[in-house]
Amino acid sequence: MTLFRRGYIFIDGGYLRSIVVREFIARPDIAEDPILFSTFLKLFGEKYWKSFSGIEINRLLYYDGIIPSDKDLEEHNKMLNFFNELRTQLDYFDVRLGDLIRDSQGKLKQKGVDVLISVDMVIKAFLNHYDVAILIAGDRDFVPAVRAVRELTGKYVYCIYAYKHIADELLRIVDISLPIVKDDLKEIAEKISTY
Amino acid sequence: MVITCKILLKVHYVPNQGSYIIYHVLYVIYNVHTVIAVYGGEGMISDLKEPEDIKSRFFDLLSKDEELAKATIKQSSWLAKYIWDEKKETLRKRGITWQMVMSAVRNSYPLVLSWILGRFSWRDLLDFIEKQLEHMVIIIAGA
Repeated sequence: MTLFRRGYIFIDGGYLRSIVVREFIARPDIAEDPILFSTFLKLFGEKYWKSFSGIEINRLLYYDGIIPSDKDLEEHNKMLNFFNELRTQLDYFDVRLGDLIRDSQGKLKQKGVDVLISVDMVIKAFLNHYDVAILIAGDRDFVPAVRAVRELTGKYVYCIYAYKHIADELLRIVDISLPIVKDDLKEIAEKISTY
Repeated sequence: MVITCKILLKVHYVPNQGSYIIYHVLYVIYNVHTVIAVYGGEGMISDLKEPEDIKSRFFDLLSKDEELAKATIKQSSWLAKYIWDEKKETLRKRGITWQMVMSAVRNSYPLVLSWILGRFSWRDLLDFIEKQLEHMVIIIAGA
C-alpha cells in the first residue's frame, strides 16, 4: 500500500505573478482579480505540484508583499482585500505578507518576503509539519534555507521554477526541480482568459 | 468490492505462511479493482449537460447579493447533487461516494465561480472535478 508524503507548497508570490503576467496577455488583470488568480492556482497546481507522485499536499502557503498602510492606505486596503478574497477562495491555503516598497526608481520591490519563506520552511521542517517542501521561487537567497532543511532534518525540497529565471545554486541544491513549461501556462491561459 | 477486500485483508493478515499468500492474492485483486475504478472506461462525468438554469440563477444572485451567492456556491451541494443525481450509478461502480463528490466540487470552488461568471468552460470544469475524484479513489485505495 502506498504511503503518501506530506507536502507543503511555498510560493513566492512576486515570482509566480511575474511569470503569470508575462503569459496571460489576454488577461493582464489576472494578478489583481482574486477569482481569476485562484482559478489559475487550482489549474496550475493540478499540472505541477499534483504531478509529483506519492505526495499529498497538506497546505499551500502564499507569500507576497503589501504596500504598508502608512505609505498608501487605499492601495494597502485594495491589496489586503485581494489576499483576503484568495484566502476564502482556496482551502488549506494561507497568505503571509511582507512589505512592498518603492525603490529609488519608483519600482515596487518585495521586502522581507524571502526571509518569511525561508524561516517558515525551516521551522516547519523542524516541527515535522511536512515531508516535502515544494518551493516555487528562483532566488539564490533560498539556498541556505534549502540546505538547512535537507541536511538538518532530512526532509526533501522540490523546486518549481521558470526556465532561465532561477539561480544555478538553487537548482543544484534541491532534490527535484521542475521547470514551468510555457505550453502549460498557455493552455491554462486559454482556459481562463479566452473563454 | 473495495469494502469486501478491505475487510478480508484485515481478517487474513495473520503471520503464517498460508494467510500470507491469501493476503497477497487479495491485495492484487484489490489493486486491480482500483485500477479499473480509476482508469476503466470513458470519463465518469464528462458527458454531463451544462446546467444553464443553475448557472444563470447564480449569475443573477452574484449581482444582487454577492456574499450570499458566494457562500451558496461554496457550499457546493447544489452542483454535487446535480452530478450525483445524473451519474450516481457510474460513480458508485468506481467506488466514489456522495461525500467524495461533495469534496471534489468544494475543492473546485474558484473554477465553479469562474464558470458561473462565464470565464471558464463547463467541459474544463468537469474535467477538473473528475481529476479530483480520480485522485481521491487513488488515495483511498492506495493504488
